[in-house]
Amino acid sequence: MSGARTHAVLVTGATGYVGGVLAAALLAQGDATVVMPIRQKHSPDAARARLLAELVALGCEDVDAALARGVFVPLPRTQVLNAELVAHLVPLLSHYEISEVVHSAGSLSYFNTATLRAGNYELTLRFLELARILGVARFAYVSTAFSSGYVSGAITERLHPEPFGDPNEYTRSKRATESLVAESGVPYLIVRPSIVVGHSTSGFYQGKPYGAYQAWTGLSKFLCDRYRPVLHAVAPVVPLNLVHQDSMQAGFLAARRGLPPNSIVHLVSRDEITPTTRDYWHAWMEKCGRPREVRYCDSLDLLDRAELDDGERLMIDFAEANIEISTRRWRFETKALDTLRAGGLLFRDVTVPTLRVCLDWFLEQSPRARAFMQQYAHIAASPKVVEMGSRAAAS
Amino acid sequence: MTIAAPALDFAAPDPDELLLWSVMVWFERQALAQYEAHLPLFASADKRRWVEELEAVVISDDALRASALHAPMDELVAAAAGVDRPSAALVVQGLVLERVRRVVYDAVRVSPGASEMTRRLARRGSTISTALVEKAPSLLHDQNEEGSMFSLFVEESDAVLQQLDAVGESVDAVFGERFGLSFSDIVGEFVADLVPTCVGLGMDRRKVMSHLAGALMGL
Repeated sequence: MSGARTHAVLVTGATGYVGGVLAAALLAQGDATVVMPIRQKHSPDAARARLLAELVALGCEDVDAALARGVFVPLPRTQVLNAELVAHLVPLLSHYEISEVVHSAGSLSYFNTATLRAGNYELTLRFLELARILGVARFAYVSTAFSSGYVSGAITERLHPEPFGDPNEYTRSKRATESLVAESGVPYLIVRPSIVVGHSTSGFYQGKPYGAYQAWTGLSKFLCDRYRPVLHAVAPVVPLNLVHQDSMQAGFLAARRGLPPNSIVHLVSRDEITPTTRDYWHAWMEKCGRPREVRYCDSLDLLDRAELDDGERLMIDFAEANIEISTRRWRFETKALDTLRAGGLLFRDVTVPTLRVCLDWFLEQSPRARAFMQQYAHIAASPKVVEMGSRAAAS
Repeated sequence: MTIAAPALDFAAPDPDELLLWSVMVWFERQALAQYEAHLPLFASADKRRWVEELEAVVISDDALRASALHAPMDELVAAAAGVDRPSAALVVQGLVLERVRRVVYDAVRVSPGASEMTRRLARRGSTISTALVEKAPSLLHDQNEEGSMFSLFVEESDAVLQQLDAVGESVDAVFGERFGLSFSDIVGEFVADLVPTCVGLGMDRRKVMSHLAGALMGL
């Protein structure tokens, strides 16, 4: 081979939301080439356009230069992705000196075990094999703060033992994959963001309707068809741990710089600051739903479904899996993040006002919600709150 | 046994109704083709006659091609085109799309905004779809292991449900005012009808809901 190879970082999942956000952060801050393997169904032009938008949202000063350091390489066909991945990528990457793999690709299905197995566990296995062949210095794995499953007490920044339960198969799959990474022999960094929401100052978000956006999407689709003077929500006053995408980017970059090999970091907002599940729902009630009365309860089993109309019932049914997660108390240890903060990391916690910025951005993108809000703008934004049931009362 | 077809006199359908039936005939043609290829039992004489009747009403696809519904319908039909075996046809058509058609027909047959002829057509469409919707679960049950049912359902229905979401938005815009068809009502009826069927096939209700939520909310 002639000439020096180009220093590069390999980022998987760059056409997805979190992978794209992290790839943009890497493009914006360093001078390394960012090599992004993408599936053949994705067009490089579309992927580049999304990265461009992320770079602009990030406030990148030289977007063209940043984008110029991004390289897309095609992955094998989906049907043979895992089987042919390593043999396919090794020659394509021969021009690069890959120092790190940032692995964000994966399945977000909650319950499709076959997809989760192939998309999380097996795909990670292949990228670890590739990382070993390339001799990378670090394998950064993007997991989730909820990979612990249900545990009592604090959720540590260590590998998790088997919990007493999982909210879904996704958390189980991420936990198993974390162990795979940690046991691979490749130096690793595991980042565990909580529920990622848009940019802290603009609200910009170009992901699919995951997490917080799923309920907002459901509300705009199913509850903006007509005015409802009474709305219901399962919304206890427990912290709902959210993290802004720009904080996730900053935390990720700081963790790469400042944490020792084989670290695990929770990228989460401070418990005492992050909005509660009640705040999350009430923001919608005040901004868009504008009912005259809102009836809150603490858990699904305390909700009287007979009170719901068809739209609300559908909304609750659809949101059930996320309601189960958002009504639990999750106590994330933040020692690693605290260390990074102490070292100068500017990590903007999600607060009620910044969550509202994200909601405003979402509503601005939803013609249905906008039309509804316009029609009912005359209705006061402060509904009467009725407590329908709390765990304390029930017990 | 076949279902008696009413004598039709659809001389001058108005543009909205013509568009509605243009959509449905497109939808029905694909279903019949897939039934003929993979599920002959469902390519019943009634279904064939029903498609012929709609084709007599809708002389050309021009109305559909000129409407906002064309692109999402095109994508929906494309998403359903991957059907290549009886189980896939049973999920995509028998479990999902036949049920969607029934929900639409049921909404139109009682719509004050629809003409008498459109309501009569919708009643007939509903009857024919209902017959197939009711047949699908037992066939699925006979042809597949109960333990693999959820995976089959997810794999085969995901793309179609996602495209359904896109069609639903346009349905609101095009037919909402005239026929009172709203995406939320259609999805609500569809889900309320589908979920018990899935549970009856041995699937976990919470998992089915999660899948439907993801697919119908753009995940």
